[in-house]
Amino acid sequence: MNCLEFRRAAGADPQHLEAGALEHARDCAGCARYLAEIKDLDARIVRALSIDVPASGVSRKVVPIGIAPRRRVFALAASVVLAVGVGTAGWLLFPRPTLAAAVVEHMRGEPQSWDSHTPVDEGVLQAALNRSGARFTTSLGRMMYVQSCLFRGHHVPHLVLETESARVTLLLLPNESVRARTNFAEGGYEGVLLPVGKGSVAVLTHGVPLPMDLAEHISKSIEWVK
Amino acid sequence: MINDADGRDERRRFEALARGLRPELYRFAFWLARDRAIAEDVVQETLLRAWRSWEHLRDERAAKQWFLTIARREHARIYERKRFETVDVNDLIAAEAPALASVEGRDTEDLRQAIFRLDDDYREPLVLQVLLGCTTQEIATQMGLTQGAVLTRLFRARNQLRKHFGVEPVDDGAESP
Repeated sequence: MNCLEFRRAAGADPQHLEAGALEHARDCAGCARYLAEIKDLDARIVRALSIDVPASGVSRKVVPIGIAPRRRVFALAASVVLAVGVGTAGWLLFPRPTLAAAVVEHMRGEPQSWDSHTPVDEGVLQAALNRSGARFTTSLGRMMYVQSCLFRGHHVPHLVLETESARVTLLLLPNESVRARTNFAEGGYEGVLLPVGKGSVAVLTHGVPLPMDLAEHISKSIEWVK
Repeated sequence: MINDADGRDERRRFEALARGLRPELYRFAFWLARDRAIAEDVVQETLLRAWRSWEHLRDERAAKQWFLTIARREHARIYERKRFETVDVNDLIAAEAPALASVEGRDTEDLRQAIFRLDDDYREPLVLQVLLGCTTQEIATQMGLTQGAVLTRLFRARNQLRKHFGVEPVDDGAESP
């Protein structure tokens, strides 16, 4: 792969470069700098695209839609949209939802994260950690799910760890500080927010009790490297 | 036959999913339309249509792509129903200044305006990839393109943004999209 090919590949999909491209970047300082610059640009693009989302009011369109012949379906649809809208408005009455509420909302949007039966490759985990400037000081166990998720304007590692006692989800939050341990339980999720340096980590289980000693162990195994 | 209890469970599942996805749907719609009012309309219509087709979603793991597909179609439908006048992009930026303003500072606002000025063909895949985390294959499916075409558009989108900030662009190898 030459430099032009590398830069076209990195400029198109910097997070999913093939082995040959990564090898080129290791041997070419200019292309390594280019890749770092593109990743920095992407981080800025994420912040730029993350515009504020308005609270959803009652849709002016909902009521007129609820007419025959599918009156019942439309009425139910309207009520659902109203519920989502009003519910969301409730969440957004405050300038920002609480961190715990935002974590639970995020989990609801990614229900598939609990279902993986295949451990994730170490390289994928490292890429997600590197993107957010996080690392583990000890190996925690088998990661069954790894995503770099947009959370409150920043990409954060969203991980599912399989342990003997439970399958737990971790959201590593280098940009979210918490003063002290904060437990929460909602919608079948049991979780805790723990401070980690200037950031924090959210540890959750779904449908089973959260082993608190495991959560503490996880929080002590995280370091921010940025 | 669906009984009331099943119906309530389905509704709760839908509401939870829709509430979680609503911010992403709104941002996607906003960057497609570059108009807050249209974005809100797109989201409302998307939720209505999604609920009415809810029984067709077999796998909730595919929910995000499913909602995005509906939102994309709703956005296109709005433009089919209404004839919008051509508006200068500077007027669009002025009209949407509240949405483009950022507490993070001038740099973010400047980048928002630069993204606003990107062609639709470049802006949409960029939003799908960078903000919504879609793979290039998912973007290709959404947009009815080959994966190669998506990669080209993504490369050009970033190249144009780099150029906007005074960085020498990389040779993009072709004249047209």
